[in-house]
Amino acid sequence: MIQIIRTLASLMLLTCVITQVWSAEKGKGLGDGHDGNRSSISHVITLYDEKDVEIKPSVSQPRPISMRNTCGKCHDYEAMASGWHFHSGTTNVLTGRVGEPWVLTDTRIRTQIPISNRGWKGAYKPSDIDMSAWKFLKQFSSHFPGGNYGEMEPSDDDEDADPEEFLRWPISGKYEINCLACHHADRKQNQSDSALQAARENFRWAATVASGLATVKGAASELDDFYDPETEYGIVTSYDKSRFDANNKVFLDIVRKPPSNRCYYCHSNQDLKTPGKYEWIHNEDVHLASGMSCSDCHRNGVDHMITRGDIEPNHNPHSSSKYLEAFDLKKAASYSCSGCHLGNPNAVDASNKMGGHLGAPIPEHKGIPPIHFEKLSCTACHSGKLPEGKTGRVRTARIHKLGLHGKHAMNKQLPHVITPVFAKAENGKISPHNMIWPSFWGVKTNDVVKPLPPILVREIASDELGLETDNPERLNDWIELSEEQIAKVLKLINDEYKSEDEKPVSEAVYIAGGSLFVLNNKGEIVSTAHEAAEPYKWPIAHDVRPASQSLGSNGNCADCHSQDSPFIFGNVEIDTPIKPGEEQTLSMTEFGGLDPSYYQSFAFTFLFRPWMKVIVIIASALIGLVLLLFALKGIDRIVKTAGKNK
Amino acid sequence: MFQAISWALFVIISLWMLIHITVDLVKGKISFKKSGEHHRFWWCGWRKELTLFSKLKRIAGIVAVVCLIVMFFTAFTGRLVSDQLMTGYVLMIHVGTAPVFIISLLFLIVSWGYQCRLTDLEWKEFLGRLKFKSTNTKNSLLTIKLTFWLAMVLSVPVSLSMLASMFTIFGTHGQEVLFSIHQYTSLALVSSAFIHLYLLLRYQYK
Repeated sequence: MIQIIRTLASLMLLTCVITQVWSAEKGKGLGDGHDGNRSSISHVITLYDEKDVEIKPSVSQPRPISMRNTCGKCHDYEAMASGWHFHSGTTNVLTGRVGEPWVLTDTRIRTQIPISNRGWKGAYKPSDIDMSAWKFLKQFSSHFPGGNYGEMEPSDDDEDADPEEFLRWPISGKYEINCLACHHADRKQNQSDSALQAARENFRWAATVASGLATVKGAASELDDFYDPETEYGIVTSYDKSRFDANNKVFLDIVRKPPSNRCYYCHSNQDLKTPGKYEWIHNEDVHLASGMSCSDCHRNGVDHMITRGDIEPNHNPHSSSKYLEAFDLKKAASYSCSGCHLGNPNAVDASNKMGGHLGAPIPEHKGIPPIHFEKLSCTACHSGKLPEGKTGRVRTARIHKLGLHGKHAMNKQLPHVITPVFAKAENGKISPHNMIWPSFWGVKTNDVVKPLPPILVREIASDELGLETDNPERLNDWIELSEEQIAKVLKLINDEYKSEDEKPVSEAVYIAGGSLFVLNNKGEIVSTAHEAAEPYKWPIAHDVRPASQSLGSNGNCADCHSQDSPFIFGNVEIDTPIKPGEEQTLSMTEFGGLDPSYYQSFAFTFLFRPWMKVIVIIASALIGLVLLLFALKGIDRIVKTAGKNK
Repeated sequence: MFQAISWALFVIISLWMLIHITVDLVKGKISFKKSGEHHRFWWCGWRKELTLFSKLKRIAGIVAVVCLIVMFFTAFTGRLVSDQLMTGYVLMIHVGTAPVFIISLLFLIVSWGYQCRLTDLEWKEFLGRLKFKSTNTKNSLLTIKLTFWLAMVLSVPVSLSMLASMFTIFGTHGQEVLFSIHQYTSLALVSSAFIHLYLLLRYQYK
């Protein structure tokens, strides 16, 4: 009997488990579809913590919200995690068009290294500088959407894991994808709070605090390595009980289409020509000013592969076939500049073929020869700062950690992001770019340069780089670096990398201002050009200016075809800690791959263009008159001949 | 498309000229003049007794032909060989030559227009040809004159199509139409000019 009861109990248990799993699978992705009803869905939902336990604010030690478990009840978390914002840390990551990198800066050792795991030319992978997921979060989590590196906790059998990091991960918790960072329309959503929690290594709590549902006391960074998050409560979560109803459910103002305000936190630029108190003079992107939002063009499905506007109907952004596989070209191309304004002839939908989404005006481009559309991207004339004699600078939200409020606000000036640089993009068209000049200490092996981790440089050359000096003098935001200092540090790095036979296995290098510095046999510093020293640049598309403020608007050819046109002949700032007080520039033609003498000659011909127009008009009119004269004579003869035949 | 049409047209014209020359040689219609017998520029109608204005008329013709050749090579070489549009310095040379060419044409039409009128005989021949009647074409200048007028007529759309594109009147589609007009009328202009020049030279050799 007991045997039968045991068997039945086991079967019941098994049935329960299967039902649970099946239910969970059934619910997965339930909210990802669209039944066609345009009204928004009210999210009055139960919150779950990382143990998948329902959150009740009244319990003594409630845990923070887990997005994986809360949102994942109805939405396919793993599918979302494959999107642009969340997959960069994975192996075989999708490259995509070159974009804004993370920039590892250490101004004391005069270092700024573009970082990206996407294999973009000029950017270094985190692994190249021994940057683990933990270190990545420590550096960049202030403007981090979660997931990705935030969930790369080393496994128990990971022998390569740093023992200290191994201990810190459970205390801080995973930094799961923060769905609310984009989809929470509540004005209480505050990513600056998320950044503060991340700075305290409270990764587990970041999304909860940012949502405004709870406050948190305590900092994981201050807890010792052997703190037990299961039994100890060094970090206390206090929920706003007024937000919970009688069933412990919470209303979250979730929207399918993220408001632009949410995008801005990580995707803002500040023009440094008129920063601070004159910020009010700036205009918005013309699309946003007309009432659109970022997500009107940058759309995505459940996979969160947001369209980047770079897949044009007739042009592939680059040779990456994988990139194109990730998008349905017939659809994605409809949301590029030309797809929207001019139509996508390959689109499935008839209205997409016509263009003019959301009332987008179809441009006429009067007086502009079509060759321009083959050589230039739309953004070349329509986007970014209007070019001036010398490039300007911007600060970006992610690189300069803009948007942090209160006591953890920063005022980072380095790296200097130079803009607009009109350079050839991957599709061969000239486009406006933002640009930084990499600057770092590294080693060269078989002509391949790899940066050294800043912490290592600090250890090797603390004295030579003056790390102990308080408030060192800064010129153009840089602490000046002399050639003697470079030589000394390179020698120290070479000594560090000596093999047993006293010969360095790799050559120490310093990269700055477009040059690579090495020591020659005499121990003197020598600078050469090297691919690794080339500036890192990424195409920009915003802010889009109104048509009337575009280059060449009203047929003004001289916007570009004049002998001092900033578009072609502008000066691009070279940013370097070596003699930072001196103005160093390069011609824009270097970046656009343009022949300066040809463009000077071509611009010169525009001086004579009005004359040529007058000459051709007069000559054509006179030829026409002479032709008319003889034509009339011919008609006269026909009339006379016709008249003779009675 | 334009490349194919251009090739076809130039091949047809070249073959026609070759056949024409061969027939002329076989029939002994061409007489080679001895050196010293005439002015060294006799082939362009230059004679010792020319007045200043007559000399100017011929110089204008030479300038127009040189400009036409330069513009033909700059525009058609890339197009015929690799279907590439001209860019860079080649484009600059083409555009720079255009005003000189149009002024030369103006001078030519003013100075040669009267001589290129159709005479009564040529008019009859012309009407006869239109009716596919056989006519006496010996020493006829009709084709030379017709190709002259055709080239002159075509020069107007050729120049105005490009001129119009320099003003903010036409949008992208309009620009493309203007460009098509320019290239097809240019092709016709070049063809008629080449036939005219060939016939003119042939006439000098007779």
